Amino acid sequence: MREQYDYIIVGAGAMGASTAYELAKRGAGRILLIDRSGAGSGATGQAAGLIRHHYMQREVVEMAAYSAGKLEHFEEETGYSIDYVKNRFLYIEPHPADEMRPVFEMQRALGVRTRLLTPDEMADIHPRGQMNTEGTGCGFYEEDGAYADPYKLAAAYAAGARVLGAELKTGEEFMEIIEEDGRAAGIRTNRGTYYGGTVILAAGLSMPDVISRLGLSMELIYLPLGHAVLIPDRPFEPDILTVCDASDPRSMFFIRPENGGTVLLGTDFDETPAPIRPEKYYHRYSYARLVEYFRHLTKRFPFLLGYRLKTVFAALDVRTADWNPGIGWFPGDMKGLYLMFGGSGHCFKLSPAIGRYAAEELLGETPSFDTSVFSIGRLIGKADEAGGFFRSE
Amino acid sequence: MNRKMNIIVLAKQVPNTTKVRMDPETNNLIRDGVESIMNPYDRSALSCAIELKERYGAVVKVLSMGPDQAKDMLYEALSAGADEACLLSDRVFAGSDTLATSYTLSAGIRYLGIPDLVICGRQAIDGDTAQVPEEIMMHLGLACATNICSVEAVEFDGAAGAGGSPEENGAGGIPKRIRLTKTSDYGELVMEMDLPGIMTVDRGCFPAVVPVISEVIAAIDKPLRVLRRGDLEAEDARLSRKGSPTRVVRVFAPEQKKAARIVRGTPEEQAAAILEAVRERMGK
Repeated sequence: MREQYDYIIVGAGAMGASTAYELAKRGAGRILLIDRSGAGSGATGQAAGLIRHHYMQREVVEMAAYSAGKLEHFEEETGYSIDYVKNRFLYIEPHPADEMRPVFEMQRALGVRTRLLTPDEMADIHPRGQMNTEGTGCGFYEEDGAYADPYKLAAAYAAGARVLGAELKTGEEFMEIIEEDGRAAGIRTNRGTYYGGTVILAAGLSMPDVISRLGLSMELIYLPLGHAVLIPDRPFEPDILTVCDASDPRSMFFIRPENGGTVLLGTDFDETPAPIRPEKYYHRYSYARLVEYFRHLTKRFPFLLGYRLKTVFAALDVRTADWNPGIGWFPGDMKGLYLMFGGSGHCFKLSPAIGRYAAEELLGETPSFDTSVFSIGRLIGKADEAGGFFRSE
Repeated sequence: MNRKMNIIVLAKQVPNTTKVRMDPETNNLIRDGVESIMNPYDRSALSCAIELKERYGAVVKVLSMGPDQAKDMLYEALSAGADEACLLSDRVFAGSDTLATSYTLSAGIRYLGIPDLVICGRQAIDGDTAQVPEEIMMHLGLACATNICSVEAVEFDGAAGAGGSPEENGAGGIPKRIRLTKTSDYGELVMEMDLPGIMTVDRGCFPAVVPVISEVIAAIDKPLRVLRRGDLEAEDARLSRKGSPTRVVRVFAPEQKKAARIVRGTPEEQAAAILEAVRERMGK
């Protein structure tokens, strides 16, 4: 007799695990959540863990605001700690305040506690030293900015789903979808075959390959993100402000407190235009690129020059052409197949909203959020034959 | 006198072997997705050199043999306080066993000039042979000491205590005899070595230098030379595969040792179980 589930979810990262949790919470029947390694062990576990509201699109701000509230009270709701720390958040924009005012007004109207700061107002904002505001346009300063541990979040969602009756199987490598009568009837893994009414693929770094095997043509980019841990002259308090500097789009970075009084830096590490094979990717950085970033960083925050460099590593994620994820029913002939991909780090902070609306969509309910910005349809046909984008080999 | 103590540190870029798995079918190492790091023993050697530089004043050069990407490791060494770096990189060097490697590195050392002291890690974590330093000793005819955990200069050359700041010529000139402590399973061995010499250090004896960001940035402007075959005075027959008498016949995973058994229960039950196990073993 074949083992039958109602929902099979491949990938226990932020998106897959939150969806499993939300489905289980709604009593959605037999749920199976599988992961190649363990919950949060893929791209989610390497995300920066920043919690902010600052997005340009109303729909995303709404989801971010809902999610920030959920993450703040996550432990009360689920009983699991995600090491949430509220420390406020400054997002530096290259454009001046008057140009950014509509975005600011939109965020305020949605209830986000944010302030628009001029470069002069930002100069003294960091408690550890002066900021050189050259080249900045304005800053969005959020009272409810925070950070948490993305690995713990995925693990907590998976554990929470289990408590509510879902099954979690780890060490299961997804191989293929079983198609029967035009439906996704189940999956085959390295360990076995599982049948289910609906298959949800949220397999993180494997999704570009999965999507190309499904015959969908779209631009998906592997995104290397550089992280560094610094040891400051005296320990950073956990609630020292997070600053995310997007004033130079070629060299974005963030700086926030990390465990043990250290400092976590993150940068866009998009230096490799060649397609990356994720299984061959190793966490390397080029020294020249590292220096370029540190020059940029220390120009903004000269006090960092005296901090010690403890470690450097590069994380890998997948992003879409417009940096928003793709979430929804497979837009092809196969029924019963739901896709979640292109998290690019944003899906950690959005996962409470994403898990909720995915569960609602899967159950045929009206989603609580306007999800058109994440529709898969918008991405189709955006493939670029020039290098730089993923091609399955 | 203006000359400073010269130190050459040998460093190897290795895969982080704690993350390397073995293909169960072919028994080959799966290096995909594994980062490259500076051999931890060599990191200890570099720290030892920086310690000597701070104490006696020295010029520290780091020498490596490997592919172009090993430059990143050399920049790391420069950020930690090395003054110059040199990479021996040429397709011709590929396929070298320890003998050909030590010969090539010796040619590199000759190119840079025989220093007062060559410092190496005791072994590399990928090959684990621990043969290269002793072979360099042989090629260059240097004194050699192994598994060293502390160094101190006991005799100095030149103007010992006679003018010149420590910055210029060290505390009392250039060390000409050093006292070394070697740690072994049987205790500590203290010995002295006349320079020039070569020594290997154990990992963990000299803690890693954690550079400040300003040093990380400054390192990119320090001298880093890449040497090709043509830059070295060496015999072709002693390089690469031709100069490598060693052949790898087979690679296999070590046999899993028997796991420990955990005895549970009350103290009495545990004691009884242990006694039983001892009796069982003695009976065999």
